[in-house]
Amino acid sequence: MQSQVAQMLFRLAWADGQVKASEVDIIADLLEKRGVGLAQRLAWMDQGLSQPPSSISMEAVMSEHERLECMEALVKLCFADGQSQPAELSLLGDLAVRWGISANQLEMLRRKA
Amino acid sequence: MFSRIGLVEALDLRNGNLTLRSRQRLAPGTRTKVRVQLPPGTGKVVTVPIVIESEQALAGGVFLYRALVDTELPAQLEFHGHDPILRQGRRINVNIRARAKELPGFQGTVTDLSRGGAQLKLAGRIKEKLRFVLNLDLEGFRLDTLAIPVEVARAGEDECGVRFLPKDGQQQKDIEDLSRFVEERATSGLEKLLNQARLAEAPRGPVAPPVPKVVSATAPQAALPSVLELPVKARLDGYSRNLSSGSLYVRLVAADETIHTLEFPSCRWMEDRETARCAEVARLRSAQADDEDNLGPGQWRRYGLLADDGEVLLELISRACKA
Repeated sequence: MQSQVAQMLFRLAWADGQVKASEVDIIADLLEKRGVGLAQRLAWMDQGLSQPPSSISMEAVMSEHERLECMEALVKLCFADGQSQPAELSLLGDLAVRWGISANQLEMLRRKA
Repeated sequence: MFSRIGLVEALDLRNGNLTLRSRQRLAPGTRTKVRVQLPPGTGKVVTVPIVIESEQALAGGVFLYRALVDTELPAQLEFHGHDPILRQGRRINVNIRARAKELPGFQGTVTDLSRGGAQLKLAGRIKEKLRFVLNLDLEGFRLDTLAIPVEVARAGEDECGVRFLPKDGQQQKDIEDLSRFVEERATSGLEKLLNQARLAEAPRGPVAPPVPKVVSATAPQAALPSVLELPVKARLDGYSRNLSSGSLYVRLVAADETIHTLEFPSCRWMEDRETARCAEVARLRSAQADDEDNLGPGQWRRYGLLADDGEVLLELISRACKA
Protein backbone atom coordinates (compact mmCIF):
# COMPACT_ATOMS: atom_id res chain seq x y z
CA MET A 1 0.00 0.00 0.00
CA GLN A 2 2.70 2.52 1.03
CA SER A 3 4.73 1.61 -2.01
CA GLN A 4 1.72 2.16 -4.27
CA VAL A 5 1.03 5.54 -2.70
CA ALA A 6 4.67 6.50 -3.19
CA GLN A 7 4.58 5.42 -6.83
CA MET A 8 1.43 7.45 -7.43
CA LEU A 9 3.00 10.49 -5.79
CA PHE A 10 6.06 10.16 -8.00
CA ARG A 11 3.84 9.77 -11.05
CA LEU A 12 1.94 12.91 -10.11
CA ALA A 13 5.14 14.84 -9.47
CA TRP A 14 6.34 13.85 -12.96
CA ALA A 15 2.99 14.63 -14.59
CA ASP A 16 4.13 18.01 -15.87
CA GLY A 17 7.50 16.69 -17.01
CA GLN A 18 9.60 18.01 -14.17
CA VAL A 19 9.96 17.57 -10.45
CA LYS A 20 10.19 20.74 -8.40
CA ALA A 21 12.20 20.97 -5.18
CA SER A 22 9.02 21.89 -3.31
CA GLU A 23 7.37 18.69 -4.57
CA VAL A 24 10.31 16.65 -3.28
CA ASP A 25 9.88 18.14 0.19
CA ILE A 26 6.11 17.62 0.17
CA ILE A 27 6.43 13.99 -0.90
CA ALA A 28 9.02 13.36 1.81
CA ASP A 29 6.70 14.90 4.36
CA LEU A 30 3.67 12.90 3.15
CA LEU A 31 5.59 9.62 3.20
CA GLU A 32 6.99 10.35 6.65
CA LYS A 33 3.50 11.05 7.96
CA ARG A 34 2.37 7.75 6.48
CA GLY A 35 5.02 5.97 8.55
CA VAL A 36 7.53 5.21 5.80
CA GLY A 37 10.94 4.93 7.45
CA LEU A 38 13.78 7.26 6.56
CA ALA A 39 15.91 4.76 4.65
CA GLN A 40 12.97 3.37 2.71
CA ARG A 41 11.78 6.87 1.94
CA LEU A 42 15.15 7.97 0.62
CA ALA A 43 15.55 4.86 -1.51
CA TRP A 44 12.07 5.15 -3.02
CA MET A 45 12.40 8.87 -3.68
CA ASP A 46 15.85 8.51 -5.19
CA GLN A 47 14.52 5.85 -7.53
CA GLY A 48 11.18 7.47 -8.32
CA LEU A 49 12.17 11.12 -8.64
CA SER A 50 15.48 10.82 -10.46
CA GLN A 51 13.77 9.69 -13.66
CA PRO A 52 10.21 9.58 -14.99
CA PRO A 53 8.35 6.35 -14.27
CA SER A 54 8.33 4.09 -17.32
CA SER A 55 5.10 2.37 -16.41
CA ILE A 56 2.83 2.29 -13.44
CA SER A 57 -0.31 0.48 -12.52
CA MET A 58 -3.06 3.07 -12.39
CA GLU A 59 -5.53 0.48 -11.19
CA ALA A 60 -3.96 -0.08 -7.82
CA VAL A 61 -5.26 -3.12 -6.00
CA MET A 62 -6.44 -1.24 -2.95
CA SER A 63 -9.55 -1.14 -0.86
CA GLU A 64 -11.91 1.81 -1.19
CA HIS A 65 -10.54 3.28 2.04
CA GLU A 66 -6.97 2.90 0.81
CA ARG A 67 -7.83 4.50 -2.50
CA LEU A 68 -9.31 7.47 -0.68
CA GLU A 69 -6.22 7.73 1.51
CA CYS A 70 -4.01 7.60 -1.55
CA MET A 71 -6.11 10.21 -3.32
CA GLU A 72 -5.91 12.45 -0.26
CA ALA A 73 -2.11 12.35 -0.43
CA LEU A 74 -2.21 13.05 -4.17
CA VAL A 75 -4.57 15.98 -3.75
CA LYS A 76 -2.31 17.40 -1.02
CA LEU A 77 0.67 17.19 -3.35
CA CYS A 78 -1.27 18.70 -6.25
CA PHE A 79 -2.55 21.70 -4.32
CA ALA A 80 0.26 22.13 -1.80
CA ASP A 81 1.98 25.03 -3.51
CA GLY A 82 -1.23 26.56 -4.82
CA GLN A 83 -0.09 26.09 -8.41
CA SER A 84 -1.64 22.90 -9.65
CA GLN A 85 -0.62 22.07 -13.22
CA PRO A 86 -3.16 21.01 -15.86
CA ALA A 87 -1.33 17.71 -16.35
CA GLU A 88 -1.53 17.02 -12.63
CA LEU A 89 -5.24 17.84 -12.54
CA SER A 90 -5.79 15.62 -15.54
CA LEU A 91 -4.03 12.73 -13.83
CA LEU A 92 -6.03 13.28 -10.65
CA GLY A 93 -9.26 13.30 -12.64
CA ASP A 94 -8.25 10.14 -14.46
CA LEU A 95 -7.49 8.38 -11.19
CA ALA A 96 -10.71 9.62 -9.60
CA VAL A 97 -12.69 8.16 -12.48
CA ARG A 98 -10.81 4.85 -12.40
CA TRP A 99 -11.11 4.54 -8.65
CA GLY A 100 -14.77 5.52 -8.51
CA ILE A 101 -14.12 8.61 -6.40
CA SER A 102 -16.95 11.09 -6.76
CA ALA A 103 -16.67 14.80 -7.36
CA ASN A 104 -17.96 15.51 -3.88
CA GLN A 105 -15.36 13.25 -2.31
CA LEU A 106 -12.66 14.98 -4.36
CA GLU A 107 -13.87 18.38 -3.28
CA MET A 108 -13.80 17.28 0.36
CA LEU A 109 -10.23 16.05 -0.03
CA ARG A 110 -9.22 19.32 -1.67
CA ARG A 111 -10.67 21.26 1.23
CA LYS A 112 -8.72 19.11 3.67
CA ALA A 113 -5.49 19.57 1.69
CA MET B 1 -34.05 15.10 -23.90
CA PHE B 2 -32.92 14.13 -27.41
CA SER B 3 -30.99 15.49 -30.34
CA ARG B 4 -30.22 14.48 -33.88
CA ILE B 5 -26.63 13.58 -33.18
CA GLY B 6 -27.09 11.78 -29.92
CA LEU B 7 -28.65 11.65 -26.52
CA VAL B 8 -28.39 14.75 -24.38
CA GLU B 9 -27.81 13.43 -20.90
CA ALA B 10 -27.61 16.64 -18.98
CA LEU B 11 -28.15 20.30 -19.68
CA ASP B 12 -27.11 22.90 -17.18
CA LEU B 13 -28.66 26.14 -18.31
CA ARG B 14 -27.18 28.14 -15.51
CA ASN B 15 -23.59 27.28 -16.28
CA GLY B 16 -24.03 26.72 -20.01
CA ASN B 17 -22.86 23.11 -19.94
CA LEU B 18 -24.22 20.13 -21.80
CA THR B 19 -23.39 16.44 -21.76
CA LEU B 20 -24.05 14.43 -24.88
CA ARG B 21 -23.76 10.71 -25.59
CA SER B 22 -23.28 9.91 -29.26
CA ARG B 23 -21.89 7.35 -31.68
CA GLN B 24 -20.69 10.13 -33.94
CA ARG B 25 -17.08 11.25 -33.67
CA LEU B 26 -16.90 14.95 -32.87
CA ALA B 27 -13.53 16.59 -32.40
CA PRO B 28 -13.14 19.11 -29.58
CA GLY B 29 -13.90 22.55 -30.98
CA THR B 30 -16.63 21.24 -33.31
CA ARG B 31 -19.69 23.48 -33.47
CA THR B 32 -23.01 21.73 -33.90
CA LYS B 33 -26.58 21.90 -32.73
CA VAL B 34 -28.72 19.69 -30.57
CA ARG B 35 -32.46 19.66 -30.09
CA VAL B 36 -33.73 19.38 -26.56
CA GLN B 37 -37.05 19.35 -24.80
CA LEU B 38 -37.38 22.15 -22.30
CA PRO B 39 -38.51 21.70 -19.65
CA PRO B 40 -37.84 17.94 -19.84
CA GLY B 41 -40.97 15.94 -20.52
CA THR B 42 -42.81 18.76 -22.26
CA GLY B 43 -43.48 19.00 -25.98
CA LYS B 44 -41.46 22.21 -26.36
CA VAL B 45 -38.37 21.53 -28.44
CA VAL B 46 -35.62 24.05 -28.97
CA THR B 47 -32.41 23.93 -30.97
CA VAL B 48 -29.30 24.70 -28.99
CA PRO B 49 -25.94 25.55 -30.61
CA ILE B 50 -23.03 23.93 -28.79
CA VAL B 51 -19.23 23.71 -28.97
CA ILE B 52 -17.66 20.36 -28.12
CA GLU B 53 -15.16 20.88 -25.31
CA SER B 54 -13.97 17.39 -24.44
CA GLU B 55 -14.66 13.79 -25.24
CA GLN B 56 -14.48 10.49 -23.46
CA ALA B 57 -14.61 7.15 -25.27
CA LEU B 58 -17.04 4.65 -23.77
CA ALA B 59 -17.58 1.01 -24.56
CA GLY B 60 -19.33 -0.04 -27.78
CA GLY B 61 -18.08 2.83 -29.93
CA VAL B 62 -20.02 5.40 -27.95
CA PHE B 63 -18.54 8.74 -26.97
CA LEU B 64 -19.47 10.97 -24.09
CA TYR B 65 -19.01 14.64 -24.95
CA ARG B 66 -18.93 17.64 -22.73
CA ALA B 67 -19.98 20.78 -24.57
CA LEU B 68 -20.46 24.45 -23.93
CA VAL B 69 -23.77 25.97 -24.91
CA ASP B 70 -22.72 28.52 -27.50
CA THR B 71 -25.39 31.12 -26.92
CA GLU B 72 -26.94 33.33 -24.32
CA LEU B 73 -29.32 30.53 -23.64
CA PRO B 74 -31.48 31.94 -20.85
CA ALA B 75 -32.18 35.06 -22.91
CA GLN B 76 -33.26 33.03 -25.94
CA LEU B 77 -35.47 30.58 -24.19
CA GLU B 78 -38.68 31.01 -22.37
CA PHE B 79 -37.48 28.43 -19.92
CA HIS B 80 -36.24 30.43 -17.00
CA GLY B 81 -38.11 28.44 -14.42
CA HIS B 82 -40.26 30.53 -12.14
CA ASP B 83 -37.33 31.98 -10.35
CA PRO B 84 -36.70 35.64 -11.24
CA ILE B 85 -33.18 35.32 -9.94
CA LEU B 86 -32.35 33.10 -12.88
CA ARG B 87 -32.23 36.20 -15.03
CA GLN B 88 -29.77 38.05 -12.84
CA GLY B 89 -26.23 37.10 -13.64
CA ARG B 90 -24.50 33.81 -14.01
CA ARG B 91 -25.31 31.22 -11.38
CA ILE B 92 -22.60 29.01 -10.01
CA ASN B 93 -23.08 25.65 -8.35
CA VAL B 94 -21.75 25.87 -4.82
CA ASN B 95 -21.99 24.07 -1.53
CA ILE B 96 -22.08 26.71 1.20
CA ARG B 97 -23.50 26.25 4.67
CA ALA B 98 -26.17 28.79 5.51
CA ARG B 99 -27.63 29.63 8.89
CA ALA B 100 -30.70 31.62 9.94
CA LYS B 101 -33.21 31.17 12.70
CA GLU B 102 -36.01 31.39 10.12
CA LEU B 103 -34.74 28.32 8.22
CA PRO B 104 -36.14 24.86 9.06
CA GLY B 105 -33.63 23.38 11.50
CA PHE B 106 -31.99 26.82 11.54
CA GLN B 107 -29.75 25.89 8.65
CA GLY B 108 -29.57 25.02 4.95
CA THR B 109 -27.13 24.62 2.09
CA VAL B 110 -26.65 27.14 -0.68
CA THR B 111 -26.53 25.06 -3.85
CA ASP B 112 -26.05 27.86 -6.33
CA LEU B 113 -25.39 31.52 -6.15
CA SER B 114 -25.37 34.62 -8.32
CA ARG B 115 -25.01 38.32 -7.67
CA GLY B 116 -28.75 38.64 -7.31
CA GLY B 117 -29.61 35.69 -5.14
CA ALA B 118 -29.16 32.09 -4.21
CA GLN B 119 -30.86 28.75 -4.14
CA LEU B 120 -30.97 26.82 -0.88
CA LYS B 121 -31.56 23.20 0.00
CA LEU B 122 -33.58 23.04 3.19
CA ALA B 123 -34.82 20.52 5.74
CA GLY B 124 -38.41 21.64 5.14
CA ARG B 125 -40.65 24.28 3.62
CA ILE B 126 -40.30 28.00 4.13
CA LYS B 127 -42.80 30.83 3.46
CA GLU B 128 -42.56 32.88 0.32
CA LYS B 129 -41.87 36.62 0.72
CA LEU B 130 -40.33 35.99 4.11
CA ARG B 131 -37.46 38.39 4.84
CA PHE B 132 -34.57 37.51 7.11
CA VAL B 133 -30.78 37.69 7.43
CA LEU B 134 -28.96 34.74 5.90
CA ASN B 135 -25.55 33.90 7.38
CA LEU B 136 -23.14 32.17 4.99
CA ASP B 137 -20.16 30.19 6.31
CA LEU B 138 -17.43 30.73 3.74
CA GLU B 139 -14.21 28.86 3.14
CA GLY B 140 -11.27 30.34 1.28
CA PHE B 141 -13.01 33.72 0.85
CA ARG B 142 -11.61 36.88 2.45
CA LEU B 143 -14.55 36.82 4.89
CA ASP B 144 -15.27 33.79 7.07
CA THR B 145 -18.96 34.64 7.24
CA LEU B 146 -21.27 36.95 5.37
CA ALA B 147 -24.67 38.07 6.69
CA ILE B 148 -27.01 39.10 3.87
CA PRO B 149 -30.62 40.30 4.17
CA VAL B 150 -32.73 38.18 1.82
CA GLU B 151 -36.30 37.68 0.69
CA VAL B 152 -37.73 34.29 -0.26
CA ALA B 153 -38.62 34.62 -3.95
CA ARG B 154 -39.68 31.04 -4.51
CA ALA B 155 -40.33 28.19 -2.11
CA GLY B 156 -40.51 24.44 -2.74
CA GLU B 157 -40.92 21.42 -0.48
CA ASP B 158 -37.29 21.32 0.60
CA GLU B 159 -35.71 24.20 -1.27
CA CYS B 160 -36.11 27.88 -1.94
CA GLY B 161 -34.74 30.71 -4.01
CA VAL B 162 -33.85 33.90 -2.21
CA ARG B 163 -33.19 37.39 -3.53
CA PHE B 164 -30.38 39.36 -1.93
CA LEU B 165 -31.37 42.70 -0.40
CA PRO B 166 -28.06 44.36 0.39
CA LYS B 167 -28.47 47.11 2.93
CA ASP B 168 -25.61 49.26 1.67
CA GLY B 169 -22.88 49.59 -0.91
CA GLN B 170 -20.37 47.65 1.17
CA GLN B 171 -22.70 44.68 1.44
CA GLN B 172 -23.38 44.84 -2.30
CA LYS B 173 -19.62 44.81 -2.89
CA ASP B 174 -19.18 41.84 -0.55
CA ILE B 175 -21.84 39.92 -2.48
CA GLU B 176 -20.23 40.79 -5.81
CA ASP B 177 -16.81 39.77 -4.49
CA LEU B 178 -18.24 36.47 -3.26
CA SER B 179 -19.97 35.87 -6.57
CA ARG B 180 -16.73 36.60 -8.44
CA PHE B 181 -14.83 34.31 -6.06
CA VAL B 182 -17.11 31.33 -6.63
CA GLU B 183 -17.22 32.02 -10.36
CA GLU B 184 -13.43 32.09 -10.61
CA ARG B 185 -13.26 28.88 -8.67
CA ALA B 186 -15.89 27.32 -10.88
CA THR B 187 -13.88 28.10 -13.99
CA SER B 188 -10.58 26.92 -12.55
CA GLY B 189 -8.90 23.68 -13.47
CA LEU B 190 -10.29 22.13 -10.32
CA GLU B 191 -13.84 22.59 -11.46
CA LYS B 192 -13.03 20.99 -14.79
CA LEU B 193 -11.53 18.11 -12.90
CA LEU B 194 -14.61 17.77 -10.77
CA ASN B 195 -16.81 17.94 -13.82
CA GLN B 196 -14.77 15.19 -15.40
CA ALA B 197 -15.34 13.06 -12.34
CA ARG B 198 -19.05 13.94 -12.38
CA LEU B 199 -19.34 13.02 -16.03
CA ALA B 200 -17.93 9.61 -15.44
CA GLU B 201 -19.62 8.97 -12.15
CA ALA B 202 -21.02 5.50 -12.33
CA PRO B 203 -24.78 5.14 -12.44
CA ARG B 204 -26.38 4.32 -9.12
CA GLY B 205 -25.90 0.69 -8.21
CA PRO B 206 -23.07 -1.67 -7.35
CA VAL B 207 -19.71 -0.64 -8.69
CA ALA B 208 -17.71 -3.30 -10.47
CA PRO B 209 -14.21 -3.71 -9.05
CA PRO B 210 -11.56 -2.11 -11.24
CA VAL B 211 -9.74 -4.42 -13.61
CA PRO B 212 -5.98 -4.27 -13.08
CA LYS B 213 -4.44 -2.55 -16.02
CA VAL B 214 -0.99 -1.19 -16.65
CA VAL B 215 -0.63 1.96 -18.66
CA SER B 216 2.50 3.59 -19.86
CA ALA B 217 3.47 6.91 -18.44
CA THR B 218 3.50 9.68 -20.99
CA ALA B 219 6.43 11.79 -19.96
CA PRO B 220 8.90 11.30 -22.79
CA GLN B 221 9.78 14.98 -22.84
CA ALA B 222 10.49 15.07 -19.14
CA ALA B 223 13.42 17.17 -18.05
CA LEU B 224 15.60 14.99 -15.88
CA PRO B 225 16.72 16.78 -12.75
CA SER B 226 20.49 17.17 -12.84
CA VAL B 227 20.65 16.98 -9.07
CA LEU B 228 18.02 15.66 -6.69
CA GLU B 229 18.14 16.76 -3.08
CA LEU B 230 16.13 14.68 -0.65
CA PRO B 231 15.36 15.88 2.88
CA VAL B 232 16.97 13.72 5.59
CA LYS B 233 17.13 15.58 8.92
CA ALA B 234 19.01 12.89 10.84
CA ARG B 235 22.33 12.40 12.57
CA LEU B 236 25.04 10.33 10.93
CA ASP B 237 25.77 7.50 13.33
CA GLY B 238 28.46 5.87 11.24
CA TYR B 239 29.14 3.80 8.18
CA SER B 240 30.61 0.42 7.40
CA ARG B 241 31.58 -1.47 4.30
CA ASN B 242 31.05 -5.06 3.27
CA LEU B 243 34.26 -5.84 1.45
CA SER B 244 32.90 -8.90 -0.35
CA SER B 245 29.79 -7.23 -1.79
CA GLY B 246 31.23 -3.73 -1.98
CA SER B 247 28.14 -2.22 -0.35
CA LEU B 248 28.53 0.77 1.91
CA TYR B 249 26.03 0.93 4.80
CA VAL B 250 25.29 4.36 6.24
CA ARG B 251 23.55 4.51 9.60
CA LEU B 252 21.35 7.51 10.32
CA VAL B 253 19.65 8.33 13.61
CA ALA B 254 16.31 10.12 13.23
CA ALA B 255 14.92 12.69 15.65
CA ASP B 256 13.04 9.96 17.51
CA GLU B 257 16.36 8.09 18.00
CA THR B 258 15.43 5.28 15.61
CA ILE B 259 18.30 4.01 13.51
CA HIS B 260 17.92 3.69 9.76
CA THR B 261 20.46 1.98 7.53
CA LEU B 262 20.83 3.01 3.92
CA GLU B 263 22.74 0.68 1.61
CA PHE B 264 24.81 2.00 -1.26
CA PRO B 265 25.50 -1.14 -3.36
CA SER B 266 28.80 -1.62 -5.18
CA CYS B 267 30.27 1.53 -3.74
CA ARG B 268 33.17 2.44 -6.04
CA TRP B 269 34.43 5.55 -4.35
CA MET B 270 33.82 7.31 -1.07
CA GLU B 271 35.28 10.40 0.55
CA ASP B 272 34.64 11.40 4.13
CA ARG B 273 35.00 15.15 4.11
CA GLU B 274 33.43 16.73 7.12
CA THR B 275 31.68 14.08 9.22
CA ALA B 276 34.11 14.75 12.09
CA ARG B 277 33.06 18.43 12.11
CA CYS B 278 29.34 17.90 11.73
CA ALA B 279 27.22 14.77 11.86
CA GLU B 280 23.85 16.39 11.29
CA VAL B 281 22.67 15.44 7.81
CA ALA B 282 20.12 17.80 6.29
CA ARG B 283 19.80 16.36 2.80
CA LEU B 284 20.91 13.54 0.54
CA ARG B 285 22.08 14.81 -2.82
CA SER B 286 21.73 12.38 -5.68
CA ALA B 287 22.89 12.79 -9.27
CA GLN B 288 23.80 10.58 -12.17
CA ALA B 289 27.52 9.80 -12.12
CA ASP B 290 29.55 11.07 -15.06
CA ASP B 291 30.31 8.62 -17.85
CA GLU B 292 33.93 9.70 -17.73
CA ASP B 293 34.33 7.99 -14.39
CA ASN B 294 34.48 4.66 -16.31
CA LEU B 295 32.33 2.88 -13.83
CA GLY B 296 31.12 0.16 -16.13
CA PRO B 297 27.74 -0.64 -17.62
CA GLY B 298 24.48 0.26 -15.96
CA GLN B 299 23.49 3.30 -14.00
CA TRP B 300 25.73 4.74 -11.33
CA ARG B 301 24.90 7.56 -9.02
CA ARG B 302 26.92 10.12 -7.16
CA TYR B 303 25.58 10.75 -3.67
CA GLY B 304 26.43 13.38 -1.12
CA LEU B 305 25.31 13.75 2.47
CA LEU B 306 24.87 17.48 3.02
CA ALA B 307 24.91 19.58 6.16
CA ASP B 308 22.34 22.31 6.73
CA ASP B 309 24.70 24.91 5.24
CA GLY B 310 25.12 22.82 2.07
CA GLU B 311 28.58 21.55 3.01
CA VAL B 312 29.27 18.04 1.70
CA LEU B 313 29.91 15.75 4.66
CA LEU B 314 30.30 12.45 2.83
CA GLU B 315 30.43 11.79 -0.87
CA LEU B 316 30.33 8.52 -2.76
CA ILE B 317 29.55 6.79 -6.05
CA SER B 318 27.50 3.60 -6.10
CA ARG B 319 24.53 1.91 -7.62
CA ALA B 320 21.10 3.26 -6.63
CA CYS B 321 20.73 3.22 -2.88
CA LYS B 322 18.46 0.73 -1.09
CA ALA B 323 16.77 0.56 2.29
